[in-house]
Amino acid sequence: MAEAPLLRLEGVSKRFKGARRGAPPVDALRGVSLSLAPGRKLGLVGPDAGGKTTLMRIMAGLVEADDGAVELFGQPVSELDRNLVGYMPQSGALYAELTVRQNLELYARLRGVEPQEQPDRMEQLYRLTGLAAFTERPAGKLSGGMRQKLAMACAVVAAPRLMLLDEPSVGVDPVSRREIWQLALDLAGETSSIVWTTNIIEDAARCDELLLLHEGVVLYAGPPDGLAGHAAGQCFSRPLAEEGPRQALQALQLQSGVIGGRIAGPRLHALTRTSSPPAGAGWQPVAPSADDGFSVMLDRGQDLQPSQLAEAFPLRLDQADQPAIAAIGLTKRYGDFTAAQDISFTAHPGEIFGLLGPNGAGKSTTFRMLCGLARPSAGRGTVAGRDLSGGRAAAREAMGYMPQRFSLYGDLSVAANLRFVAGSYGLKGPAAQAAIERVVAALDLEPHWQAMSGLLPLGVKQRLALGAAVMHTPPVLFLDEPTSGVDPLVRREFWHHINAIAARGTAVLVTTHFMDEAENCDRLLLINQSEAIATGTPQDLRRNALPGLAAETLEQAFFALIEAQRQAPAEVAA
Amino acid sequence: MSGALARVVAMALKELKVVLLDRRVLTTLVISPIVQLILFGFATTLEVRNFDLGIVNRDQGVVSEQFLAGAAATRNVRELVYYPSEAALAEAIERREVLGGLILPADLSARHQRGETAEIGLLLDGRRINAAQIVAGYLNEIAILTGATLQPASVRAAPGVSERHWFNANLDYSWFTLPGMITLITTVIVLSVSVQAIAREREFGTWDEVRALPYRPWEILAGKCVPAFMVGVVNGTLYIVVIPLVSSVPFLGSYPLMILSIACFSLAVTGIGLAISTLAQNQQQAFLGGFLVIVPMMLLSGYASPIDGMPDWLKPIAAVDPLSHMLVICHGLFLKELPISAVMSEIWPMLAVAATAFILGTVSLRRRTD
Repeated sequence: MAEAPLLRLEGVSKRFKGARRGAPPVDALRGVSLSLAPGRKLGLVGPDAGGKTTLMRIMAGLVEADDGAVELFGQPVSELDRNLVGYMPQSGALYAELTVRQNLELYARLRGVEPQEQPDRMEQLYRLTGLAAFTERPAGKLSGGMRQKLAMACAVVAAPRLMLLDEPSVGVDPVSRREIWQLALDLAGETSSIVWTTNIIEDAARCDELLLLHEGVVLYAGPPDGLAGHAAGQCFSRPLAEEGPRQALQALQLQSGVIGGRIAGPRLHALTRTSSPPAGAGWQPVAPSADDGFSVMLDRGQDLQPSQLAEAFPLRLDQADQPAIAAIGLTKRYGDFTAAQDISFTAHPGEIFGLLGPNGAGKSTTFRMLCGLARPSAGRGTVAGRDLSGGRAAAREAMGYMPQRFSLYGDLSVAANLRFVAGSYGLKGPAAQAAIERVVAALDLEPHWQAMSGLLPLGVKQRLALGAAVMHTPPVLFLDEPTSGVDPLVRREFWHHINAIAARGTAVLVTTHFMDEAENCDRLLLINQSEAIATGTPQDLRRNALPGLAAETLEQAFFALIEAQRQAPAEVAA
Repeated sequence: MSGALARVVAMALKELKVVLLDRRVLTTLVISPIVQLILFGFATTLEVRNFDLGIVNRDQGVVSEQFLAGAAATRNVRELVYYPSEAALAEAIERREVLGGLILPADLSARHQRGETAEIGLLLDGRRINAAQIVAGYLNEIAILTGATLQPASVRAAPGVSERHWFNANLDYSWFTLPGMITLITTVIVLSVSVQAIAREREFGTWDEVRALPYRPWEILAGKCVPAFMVGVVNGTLYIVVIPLVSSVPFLGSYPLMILSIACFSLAVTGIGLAISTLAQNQQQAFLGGFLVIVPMMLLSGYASPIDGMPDWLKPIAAVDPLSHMLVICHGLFLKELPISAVMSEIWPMLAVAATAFILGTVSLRRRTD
C-alpha cells in the first residue's frame, strides 16, 4: 500500500506485575505487530484476558508499552494529539446521573467542540444514534443498547480519524448489536478508521481486517475469510433427526478425530482434525466459519473423554415427570421499574433449559430469583420440589450454582476454595476428600492445585467454578453464562460436561448469549424487555418465529421475535 | 445438624485463610497493637510532668523561700522561671513559655508573721484547661504543705486528711491506663476485622456464591466470627503477659478468669462488628459504620471519664456498652483479685450484648436477600 499507515505497532509487549508479592508477572501482550490504513476497520477479537483491552489502552496512549514501537498518524504515541483519537472504554464512560444531552455536551466541550457553534454535528449525532427523543433522560436510565450508542457518540463527537471502541456491543441484544455496528460505520464514514474489540468472532467477521489475540499472542492477522480458511476442508454437515439433537452432538464429539461440533438449525456441523468426515452417513463438506478456524488453531490433538464429572451423578431419570425447576408467575419490581413480569416455566430432570435474552432484559433477574438470590415481588419458584420462599437453605442444598463472574475467592488457592465449597455442602472427612479429588481429576485442576485462584487463566477459573458447582452432585444445576469470554475449545469441553450431567437426570438451567449454545438446549425461553416473549424447543422457535415461513437459524428467529415485540403496542400483562 | 457443623467449620477455615493471607490485614494486626501499646501506655496519662512555672517574687521572706523550694522539689515541675513583673509573666503565658505563674506579693512573709492569712496569686493558661487544673491542684498541695511546715509546733497537731491510695499506692497513672488499654485496643482490632467480614464478600462479588450455598444466616455469622474472635483473644492474652513484663503494673487476679473475660468481650465486639457488616454494601461503608460505634463505645466506657459522673439518662446506655464491663474486669483483675462472682456479674451483660448482636445480624441477613 502506497498510503502511510494510520496506525502501526511493531513488536509491542506489555508485562504486568503479579497481583501480590511473589506472584509471577503476567504477560498481557507478547510481540504484537499490526498496521492499519486510513479508512479501514479492524476487528480485534479473542477470548477474555487475551490482551485486547491492554492493546487498546496502549494505542490510546493510556498505557505505555514495555517494548516495541507504537505509531499513530506517523508519530510516536507519546506525541499523540488526543483529539485525533476517539477512545470508548469498555462499558463506556458515561455519567449516569447526567442526561443524554448533558453527557454529550460535556464530552463535546472536553474535546473542544462547542455545541452551540456546531449544531449540525450535534444534530447528526442525535439522528444517527436515535437518541433525539431521549435527550433529557438520565444516561443511567437508558437501555443497554442506547447507553452504548451514547457512549460511542461521546467518544467520537469530535469526528476523530481513529475510533478505538472497546467492546461496544457487549451485553446487548442481537438487534442492538447490529445497530451499534452500523452506527460505528456511519460515524466513521469513509475516512475514519475503527479498531473494534469483541470476544464474539462472528461480530469481528464484519470488519475489513481481523486480528485474533489469544493469551497475548497474535494467532491470526488478515481478512476474516482467512481465519475460516484454517479450517478449510475440515468442516462437514449432516441433517439432524427431530429427536435428540443434543444426544447426536454428544455422540459426535466423543468420536476420535473430531475437534468440535455444533447444532446449526436442522443440521449438525462437525469440525474434524483431518479432511475425512466423521463416522456415520450423510456428511457433506461445508464452508468453515471464523470460529472453526480459531478452533483448529487452538486444537492440541486431544479427543474428548467421557465426562468423569458426570459419572458421579446418581441416575435421577426415574422422576422425570416431576418438575425439577418451576417458575410460577415470577415477577420482580424495583420501585416503579419491573425487571421481570410474570415469568412461568418448568424444567424436568435431564432437561437443559436455556434462558435467552439481552442483558437487562430480565433474564438475570429471573435466574437470580430461581436460585434464591433475589426475592420475587410476586409469584414463586421451586427447585427439586422445594419452595424457594420457605426452606431456602434446603432448596439450595439441591442445587449447584455457577455465577456469571468468577465468584470464588481469588486470594485463596484452588485447594482452599474447593475445601470451602465441599464443607459448605456439609461434606466432611473422606466424603469431602473423594468429592474434591473427583472434581480435580475430571476437570484437570491438578496442575493448579496450589495456585492462587485469582491469577488463573479464565478458562481454568471457569473450570474451577464448574467443579465447585457440581461437587455435591445436585439434582439441579444453574449456570449463568458459563462460557462467556472463554475460547471455543473450553466452551466445547464445558458443554460436553453439561450434556453428560444432564444425561444422568440432572436438570440444567443455563443462560447464554451464543446461538450455537442455545441450539444445544432442549427448550428455550426468550426474555426481552422484562417479559417472556417465546418458549419452546429450538426447532419450535425457528418454525414459529416468522408467520408463514420457518427461520433458517435460531438467530434469525430471535431477530424476528424481538422486532415483533418492539413493534407491538405495549400491552399490559394481566 | 452435623451438616451445619461442617458448614460452620468450612466457613470459619475459609475466613481465617482470607484474613491471614491478606498481608495488609496481617500487618495491621501485628503492628497496630504494638504502636497502640506505646501510645496508650505512655501518652495517655492524667499526670502533668515537666512543666515550667513562671514566678514573680516580691517577697524576700521565709515563706516564699519555703514555698518555692517545695515547688521546685516536686517531680512534676521542670524549672522555675523568674520574671520581673506581672506583665512579663502574662506575656510568657501568652507565648506559652510557661503553663502558669505564681505571684508572691511583697507582704507575704510579713502577713504570715502577723498570723494573718497569706495569699499567693496564681495565673493559669485557660487554653490548656486540663493541664492547668491539674497544676493548680499540685500547687495547692504545696501551699498547704508549706503552711503546715511553717506552723508553730503546737498547731501542727490539728486534724488533717491523710490519703492512702488503695490498689495503686503511688497513684501511678499507668496502673490505670495499661489495663484499660486491653479493652480499647481489643475493641479497635476486633471491630476492624469483624466489620469487614460480609462487606468484603459483597465488594469482591463472592457474596452470591455464599448465598447460593446452603448456609443459614446463623451459620454464616457463626463461621465469620471466628477470625475476629481469635484475633481478640490472642491480642488480649498477649497483653496480659506483656504488660506486667514491660511495666510495673501487677497482675493479681486469676489468668483463666481474665482469658474467659477477654473471650466473652471479644465475642460481644465481634457480634457488633458483624451486625454492622450485614448492613454495609462495601468495605468503605463498613469502616464508617465501625467508626460510628467505636467512638461512642469508648466515650461511654468510663475510660476517659467516670461513668458515675455521667447524667442519669446516659448511665443505662453505658451499662450496655461491653467496654464498660470489660474495663471493670481489667482493672479488677490486674490491680486486685476480683472474685469470680464479681467477674461473672460483668460477663453476663457482655454475653447478652453478643447474643443480641448475633440475633440482629441474623435478622438483617435474612432480610437483605436482594
